[in-house]
Amino acid sequence: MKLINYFILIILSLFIFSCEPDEPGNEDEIFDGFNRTELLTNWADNIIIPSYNAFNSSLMVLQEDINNFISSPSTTSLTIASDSWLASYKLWQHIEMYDIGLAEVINYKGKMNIYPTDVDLINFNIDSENFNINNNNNFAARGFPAIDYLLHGMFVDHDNTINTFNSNPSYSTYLIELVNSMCDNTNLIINDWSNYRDIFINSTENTATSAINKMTNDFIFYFEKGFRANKIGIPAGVFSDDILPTTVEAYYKRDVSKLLALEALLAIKNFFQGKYYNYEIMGSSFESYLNYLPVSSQNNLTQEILLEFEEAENQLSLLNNDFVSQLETNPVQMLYAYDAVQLLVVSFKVDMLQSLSISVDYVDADGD
Amino acid sequence: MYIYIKQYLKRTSSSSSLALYRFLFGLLMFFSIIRFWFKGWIKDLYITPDFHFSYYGFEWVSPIGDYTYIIFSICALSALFVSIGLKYRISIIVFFLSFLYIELMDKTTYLNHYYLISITSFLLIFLPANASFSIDNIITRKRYNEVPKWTIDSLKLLISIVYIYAAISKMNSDWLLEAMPLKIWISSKYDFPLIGETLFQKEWLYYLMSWGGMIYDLCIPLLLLYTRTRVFAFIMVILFHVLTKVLFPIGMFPYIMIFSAIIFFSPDFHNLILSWFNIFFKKINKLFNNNNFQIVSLRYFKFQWKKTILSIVVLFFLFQFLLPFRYLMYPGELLWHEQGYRFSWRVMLIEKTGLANFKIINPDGSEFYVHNSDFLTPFQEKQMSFQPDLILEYAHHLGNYFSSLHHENVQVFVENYVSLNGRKSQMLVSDSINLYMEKESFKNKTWIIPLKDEIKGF
Repeated sequence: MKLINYFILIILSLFIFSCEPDEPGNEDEIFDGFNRTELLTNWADNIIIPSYNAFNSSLMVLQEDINNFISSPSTTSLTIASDSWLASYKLWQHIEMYDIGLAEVINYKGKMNIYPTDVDLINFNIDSENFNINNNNNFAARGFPAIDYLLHGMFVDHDNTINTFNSNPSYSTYLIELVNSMCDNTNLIINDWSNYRDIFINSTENTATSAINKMTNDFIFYFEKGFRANKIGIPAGVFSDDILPTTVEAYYKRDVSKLLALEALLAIKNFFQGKYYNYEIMGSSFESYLNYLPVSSQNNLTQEILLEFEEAENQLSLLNNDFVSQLETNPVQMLYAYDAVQLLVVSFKVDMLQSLSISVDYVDADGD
Repeated sequence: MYIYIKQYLKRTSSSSSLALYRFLFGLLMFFSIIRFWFKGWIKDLYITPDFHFSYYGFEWVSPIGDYTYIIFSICALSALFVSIGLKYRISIIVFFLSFLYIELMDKTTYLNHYYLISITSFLLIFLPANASFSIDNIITRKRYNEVPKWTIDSLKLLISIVYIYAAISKMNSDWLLEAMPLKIWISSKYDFPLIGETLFQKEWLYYLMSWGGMIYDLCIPLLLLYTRTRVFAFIMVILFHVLTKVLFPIGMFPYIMIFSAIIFFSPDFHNLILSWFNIFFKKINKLFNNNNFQIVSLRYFKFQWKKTILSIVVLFFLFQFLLPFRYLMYPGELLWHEQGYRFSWRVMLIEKTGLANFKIINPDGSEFYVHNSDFLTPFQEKQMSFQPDLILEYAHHLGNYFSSLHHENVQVFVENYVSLNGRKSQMLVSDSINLYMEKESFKNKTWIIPLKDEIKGF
């Protein structure tokens, strides 16, 4: 195969160079290479790694505040822990889409954010006092949603929650185990990125396993599943006969589901535009790549996608801060938000993929 | 004219041309099936999926679980028998039927070159390809030096049809004026060694390759027919098909087209290639001679049911001439609605990306969207998302499934967006039609939304 490749290369170049026009037309200049390493470098150095670092700091704060709450449970320490849980959960919205490298291998997102959380399993674990949080059975009993339940879900009023933690140390153990394992796994990923970064930025070829194609697939998959379906579609009953309010993200905290969804949408848009994490600087991105490619630039695809982002943002903003009460009062409004988000799915999955012509991770088979 | 035809039918040519073609065809088919098997595709494409897309009227043809491997074994074995010319007539019929069965099992995997193999093996049933250099010669103790010339010409004609119809289908504004879809495909080969980042990003190259491809398809049969240009044409055939092999994942197709072109060479050339085979053959012959066996060399091969066979072959070609033009009976843009797209040598003409979300409305009025991955493999989902007939068949499958849960008919709607050759995506199948009520037929599918653009030409 390799030999044939080079053989053809020589023949083809002889053929091509022998008939290259003396004065190439102006349109040639438009397509003079796109630097994909620059794109991947921007993703890694200015978006992914800084996001991880910021997220990690927030997790350490959460860890500290939870330890404080455990050592002296009070309304104040509970509120502080709850606030840092939310702060960290917000930053998590910038992380979930990077299901690549070690994160993919250890199913990092599964360990951090499976919701709805399994309350029975959490209680069973706590009662048994002999649990291994890293056991594969425990995906639905860990991460942000499990902490959500322990801090906000067991009782409506703070006093009962505080009393439970005071009187039963196995609740405290479980809560600490949860946050510790989140920190441990995040550290693993961050450490891995220090090596993986160089592999990542150089993996530019157009194959099913290259970093550029995997990241593209991950981005679209996350948008469709992690964002569109999990945050909006499933609760709104798009995939079931009825609405499913218990499947809302941060179900027990209640009033933050819109906040998290908007944060996730912002993270997605920032990644699409190549915006540096926490800086107002735009680097190489899907947007610049699509503006470079002949098909999408001709169709003004990025302009349309940015308008669709705006519309999705607007529709989400119209919703109640608490998606549960939104669903109970006016579920149709949530479907409007879903429809607006769905337009972006069409743009990503159909128009963007058509233009990128990347090898998608399907079964390989012959074509003609 | 009548006399001319009569004289033409009486003309003969060396039987070695057919023999060589038979030998190579059988061998290539054998390796194709082994390759398919070793890649795990029998399992991935035919055994793993719960649901299969059927051809209209052939819904009864489907994989038979693990026994599907037996069909492939029969197919491979009969190909080998065809190659060596052992019980040729039975072997080629078995090969044709088993290969046809495989192709009819799932429409998802339709490829033009599978169709080419099917119809070539059908034609071969009626040709005396075992007249010489076959094991059958030893069994029957007869060989024929000459066969009717039209039998060899019929294979040439079939190959010429493939090329010329492929050329005609490229004569449209997308291919020639927009260089689509080559522009998308070639520019995405940026990781090709040395020239991927430079040459493959040049606008003029896409046009050169589009026009070159069309002119190549149009001219190659003529160039192969004339003695003077034949060697040049054959080199072009090799270069062109190796180039497509390197650039695109088109499996065995290039090899099939390269070996098929050999039929255009002179009988002397075919004899030359077979001479090594001849030595081997004489050795076997000697072996038999010791036992007082003798192969009688007869000059001419004579058909038993000449009139019947000629009628079948003529009808076969008439069908081949007309079938690709059936799309004219459907209004709208062929590349968009794909009604009459298959079996017409439309190769590499379209790049489509699609998205199809199915909505089920329950008898009580509640509704939900289906996860396609619960029913289809990723490959099936991809192929389904832009082909209206597959969308309809899948909608019926969903309708049957969910209706049986409710013991009452549900309604099935689709939200379907497709991008064709770099155009902005638009709706392909209407989202306001209950597909469960629509029947598959050869009639125009009125629920396909026309392309909001015009592609000129064929």
